[in-house]
Amino acid sequence: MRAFLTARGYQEVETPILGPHATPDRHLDSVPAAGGFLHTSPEFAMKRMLAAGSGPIFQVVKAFRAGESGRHHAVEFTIAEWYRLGPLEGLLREMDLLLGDLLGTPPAERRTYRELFLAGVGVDPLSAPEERLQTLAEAHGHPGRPDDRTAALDYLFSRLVEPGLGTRAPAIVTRFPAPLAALARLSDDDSRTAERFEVYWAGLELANGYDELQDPEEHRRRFAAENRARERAGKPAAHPDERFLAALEHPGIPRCSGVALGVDRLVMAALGASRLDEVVAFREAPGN
Amino acid sequence: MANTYATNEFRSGLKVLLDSDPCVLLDCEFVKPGKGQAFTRIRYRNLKTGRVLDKTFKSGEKVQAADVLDTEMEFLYSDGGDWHFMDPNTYEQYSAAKAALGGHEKWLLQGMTCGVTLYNDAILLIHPPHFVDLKVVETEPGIRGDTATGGSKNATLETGAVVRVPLFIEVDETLRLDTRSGEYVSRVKN
Repeated sequence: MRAFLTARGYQEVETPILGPHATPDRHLDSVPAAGGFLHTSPEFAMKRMLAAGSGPIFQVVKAFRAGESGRHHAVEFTIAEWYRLGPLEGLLREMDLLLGDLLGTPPAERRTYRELFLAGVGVDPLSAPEERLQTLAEAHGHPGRPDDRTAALDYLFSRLVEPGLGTRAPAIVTRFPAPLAALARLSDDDSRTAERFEVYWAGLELANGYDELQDPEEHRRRFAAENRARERAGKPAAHPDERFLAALEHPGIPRCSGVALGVDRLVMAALGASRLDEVVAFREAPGN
Repeated sequence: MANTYATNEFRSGLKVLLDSDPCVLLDCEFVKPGKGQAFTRIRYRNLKTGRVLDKTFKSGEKVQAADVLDTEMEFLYSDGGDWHFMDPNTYEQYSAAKAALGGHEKWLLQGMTCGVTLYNDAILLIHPPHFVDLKVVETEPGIRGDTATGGSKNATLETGAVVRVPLFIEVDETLRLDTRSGEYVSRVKN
């Protein structure tokens, strides 16, 4: 992977694992350490490098997510994250080449979230009323009524769409509904979708990437929404990373696209393993 | 009381109350779609009905522990309505209704040690030994030397069970039987 990325002009970087801020992501929980928190991904630090003019960068690093332990999850895991300048298309092509290189996979099949959801669930994820999605999720075994549209969409997609993804060839799911944008920019031609993608192969969700949101105000709005959701769920709100927000304002990050790939899962896919334990020698962390 | 388990404590073999019935977890899986919410999906067996079901929990949810204990007891006798067992350590006696036997009553012989699942200190299920040795009390006369044709006939055992046995089996012989399949395994030399 290093050879692949280096040959394409990416520079390997290192950023701190321990920082002052917890992630504001509503569904992630940072591991507290030494008065601060271990990062859940190197995203914000790498974007500050991009704002400082780094150009294309990558890193392979440990990341930590409290409470995530299972067949495909570990509290401590290895993430490969890289950013290139420009819109998503170049990154998607590179991702396809990388998978072919490392895993010998056939060319990836690209599908929009909407077409997959229509085929698997039978309703339009962009226009179906929230109540209809919530009722469907409950009918398919969601414990209680999902809190909102995003919870219903995530559940239905994972239950009815994901199991069939990436069987013959890697599947790249593009154009996620705007409420699931995370930190992706909205599509230029349709504000109901966002330029976020995920990669599935061999029953595994391997990677998640964005055409990166640049607007600092929109970042603040999305962080605030995450924190409101955290508070509703009884979780502590996370202070926004002001250094990151300041870098977005000045000098700002260039138009760029980035992706995070689960390295342990990549190794699982390469070896045909069905459990992380088969490819990770140590699972000794508390809660792991 | 009211012990609870959170989803991160789930593991196979755990006994919990689901839909107010005692259940045993067979398989649990942590699932977290994309950047979405985390769930724990379980497969479990309802110990009362024997049914295997699936259920999804939000991570962090809690369920009540079921006071279920797996132990061994000696079978004493049946009075026709109930089956009576004794804890060999405390000599305490327990009775089980037919539902707890699950059709296994036909293998039980006085003095036999059985697995017992207790729920709230009452017998929920009886598990006979996987193999039992029982004497034949009735069968058609044996055909000596015919060990090759693979034919079979019915034999009634001392507990009342009727099983298919090879043609050479005689009355008063002791047979080894697999209680899980209900099949003849071999002759046992007296």
